Parts: sequence; C-alpha cells; structure tokens
Amino acid sequence: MLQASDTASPDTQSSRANWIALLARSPLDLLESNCAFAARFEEHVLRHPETGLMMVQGRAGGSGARFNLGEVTVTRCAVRLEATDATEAVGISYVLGRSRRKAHLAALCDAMLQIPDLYPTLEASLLDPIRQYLAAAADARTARAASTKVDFFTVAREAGPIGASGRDA
Amino acid sequence: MAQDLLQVSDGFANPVIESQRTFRAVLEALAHPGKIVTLHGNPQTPPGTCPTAASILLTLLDSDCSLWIDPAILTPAVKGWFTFHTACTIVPEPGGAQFAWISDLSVLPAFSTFCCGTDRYPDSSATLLINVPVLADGPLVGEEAVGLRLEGPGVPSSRTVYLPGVDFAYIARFVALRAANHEIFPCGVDVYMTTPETIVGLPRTTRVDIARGR
Repeated sequence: MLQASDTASPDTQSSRANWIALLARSPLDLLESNCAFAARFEEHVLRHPETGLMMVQGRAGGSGARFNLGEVTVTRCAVRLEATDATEAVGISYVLGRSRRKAHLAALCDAMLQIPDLYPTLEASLLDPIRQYLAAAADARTARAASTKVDFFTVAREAGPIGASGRDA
Repeated sequence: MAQDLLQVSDGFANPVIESQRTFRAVLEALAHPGKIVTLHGNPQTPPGTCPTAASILLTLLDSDCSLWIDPAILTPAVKGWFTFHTACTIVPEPGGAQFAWISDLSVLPAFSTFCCGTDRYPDSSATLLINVPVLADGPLVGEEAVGLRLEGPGVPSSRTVYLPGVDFAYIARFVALRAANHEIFPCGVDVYMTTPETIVGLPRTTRVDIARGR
C-alpha cells in the first residue's frame, strides 16, 4: 500500500520524481516513439504491469483535515535494463488508468532517463514534448473555461448614508 | 520503501501461469504426504537460496502475510526480494510468523516457538518450509539411508521418504518434534521439505516415524 505524501516533490526540472510524474501523464504515442532506444539493453521485467486501486486523499482548501476522496485505478510496472557494458538501471511507473502498455513504456523510459548518456537525447525527444503537450492541454482547458466566464457586477447603492432618509420623520 | 531495486532479481517470468502451476504442485504434495513432487519453472531467486521454497512463498504470500526467515539465509537481497515481489512482512521472531523458511534441519527451532494455532482457530498456525539436500523415495544403492516413514490421511498404508545426507540426530529430533506436534492436534504446524527441484508435504495429520533402509 502506498502512503500518500504531504510534502511536495522536489520541483527541479531534472529530478527523477519530476520526470516520473511527466511520464505518467504522457500520451501513449510519445512513449511509443521513444521506446526504440531500449533495444540496446537487455530487459528484465521485475514486476509485470498490474492494475490495482489506490486511495486518493485530499484536504479541503489544501490545508484542512485529510479525507479520503475516492479510489482511482492505477497500473504499475518495474523493469531493469542491463547493457553489455554493465550499465544498469531500474525504472518504475505508476500510471493512472488500465493501460498495461503505457505503464510498461513509462517504466522503460524512467530506466533509460537514469542512464547519463541517454538523458540529453530523451530530455529533448521525450520530456520536452510531454511538457509542451501538458501545457497545451492546460491552456486549452483554461481557454474553454474562460469562454464561459461571466463578469458579475454590483450596482452601487445610489441612496445616501444608511438611515439618512426618514431621520426627521 | 527505501531499498535498492538494482539488487532485486526477477520473480516469475509469467506470474499467472507459474504461480498456478506451483500452487497445483503444493496442493498435490499436501494431499499426498510423502509424495515427491517436482516443481518446474522456478524464479530467479536470490543467490544461495532454495528456488522451490522461494517459488512456493512467492505463490502463497501477499501483503497480509508474515514471514520468518532463518537468519542463516536472511540477507538484504533475500529480504528485498520478498518485500518487493510479495509485499509481505518479514518478522524478526518465529512466533509472529504465518510462514517460516528454515535453511537446514540442523537449525530447525522447536515447533512450539512457532504459532501452532488455537483450538478455535487451528488454521492460524504456521507453515514451515525446510530445505533438505535430497529427497528420495528409495534408499540409495549400497548406502544405509535414514528416512521418514509416514502414515495418516492421504497415505495408502505407509510411505517412506529418505533423506540422504542428513545427520541421523537431526532426523530423530525432527521425528520427536513431529510427535509433539501430533499431540496438540488439531493445532500444530504444517511442514514442507524442499530440495532445489522437488517438494514433499507433511501436513499436521501425518504421523512420522524413523525408517531405515538399505
């Protein structure tokens, strides 16, 4: 059972937590187009993709008491990559939804990103496009919400000070 | 979960098929005490451990289970492997464990140190996996072999399992422990003996005696 963490993950662009989060939200085709890099490694699947439920917790207003928001479907996977020159890395993934393929590819990409000489290539061909995709998706959502925005305004009181009228009555 | 995943070797290559196959073999062994059952397709276990015992534990354990491992084989790699693949709890004392893995008959603790269940819940007792060098259904040619003569449910008249390479004193001690185990029936522990390829089931209903063969 995973424990929820209240502490924010380190927000540096290159931290592993950061790229794992990006991979988990990546569209499948971006992962597919980058998995060819894994061909030079021998792959061991430590944990085959498996789907389960995780409890999501929330805090009202971000600071209230913790409560259980609901369960989400999560697929997880772990792979170990070994190269002939004894380079090895273990990649893990926890991905929303039931796509076993996506969980597998996300774990593969996590492992490859930990290999120093592959990182710059993948940063350019995978992480940047994911960031752009997520930014575009967020912009589209904001724009859609903005189009329904209604500006309310309050008509200012035209009467004088409260109780001014009728004082002499 | 602060552990180095680089140290964790693979589990089952095909978890569904292989864990079901192992489960079937375990059932077979328990239903026919003393029958030597061969286990195929064992996982890549941590070095220095018995692959059949590891694959039985991999099949049976989940996050609700507790496991005690003999300190002789409890390395960080073994601990990491079980924690990663089964998410079970590894307990420091044998008394708190539902499953126990013992690397040799010579280091077998008394059965009373394990959970033997209660009259109300005899099913809450521990299951022991004991590694032995060889399990044979007949004495080796030209050698005097000592073994276990088994009687009880699932055994037609009697069946004998020989344990070449195990010191007589340890076999005698095991038989004495089993006799004590039989006295507290329906409580008591269940035992599997494992070699790197085969297993034998010795449920608590089986009566065990010393057999000598030539």
